[in-house]
Amino acid sequence: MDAVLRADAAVLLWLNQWVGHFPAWDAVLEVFISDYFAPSALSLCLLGMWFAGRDARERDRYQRATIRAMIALGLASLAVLIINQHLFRARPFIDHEVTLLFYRPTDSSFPANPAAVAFAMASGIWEGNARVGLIFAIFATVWSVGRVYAGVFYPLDILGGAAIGITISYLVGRALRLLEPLPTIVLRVAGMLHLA
Amino acid sequence: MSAMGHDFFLMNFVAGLGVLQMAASYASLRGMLFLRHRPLSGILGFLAVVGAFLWFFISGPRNLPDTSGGLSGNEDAWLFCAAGACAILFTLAATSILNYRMGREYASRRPGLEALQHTTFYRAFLSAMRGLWTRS
Repeated sequence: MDAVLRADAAVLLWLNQWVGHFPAWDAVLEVFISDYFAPSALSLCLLGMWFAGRDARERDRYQRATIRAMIALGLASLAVLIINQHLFRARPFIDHEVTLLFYRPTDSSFPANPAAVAFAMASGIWEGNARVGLIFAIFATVWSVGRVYAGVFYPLDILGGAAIGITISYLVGRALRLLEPLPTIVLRVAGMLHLA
Repeated sequence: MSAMGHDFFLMNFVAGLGVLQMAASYASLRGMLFLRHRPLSGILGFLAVVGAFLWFFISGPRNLPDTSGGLSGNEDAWLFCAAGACAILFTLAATSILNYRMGREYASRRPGLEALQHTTFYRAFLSAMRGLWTRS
């Protein structure tokens, strides 16, 4: 276990050593990894997906994927919150000398909430449209690795968060299938009001 | 509401309007467009999204913890939901007024967003309600 943690810290320190070498890149990344850019961009994409289907069949697929992604996003966040009550890992800047590109968060480092949320959304959307799901996954990866580069997460925190997000999204997908015809009824009622 | 909360809501509201225009343009939901020209509506939507994000991130420091003027995760989530809901309501209401003449003769009671390819939300909703009334 010690070897894994040492390797984890080594990857973090290797990535973080580049902070300050490319100021323009750092400025862009500072926006990208902020608490507001990625969550808003991903959520706005979900909003767009709801309305973007070009025919009834495509729209139904997109809307089911959006519902799955929204539920997975909420549950992934809740799972991280519950895990954080029982497991605390100090942030990298507590134990190592890192250059920060971000403020100093006080909550647990493991598992990474941004990774859990972003990967939950990406895998939820994947079912509706694999191409958009792939874009979400790339976005989630850049957001997560950016946080490691910025010195606020270890790589293992990101992997843990991503695993939680993907697992929860898969379970939500299964649950929605088991709950049929409830999702279909919800979509039909919204459809009657011309909202789906 | 804090200054950050206000700005965050505004950014998501304007960007939400833009995203809805882009989606409506892509899906040919003419009853949801602010402009009659479909591709132009999509471009306008894209510019609204880019503009909203640029304004938000250029207008002040945004990398702040929730103890020093930033937003907590919960505030983040409910402000986004509120902004998204307002963007949907505003779009449906405003386009129903702007495109008032659209789909006057459209009598189909086809459910779903597809009706908005031919008429406004107001007319489609009214038609759905009439349908429910006559059925009951």
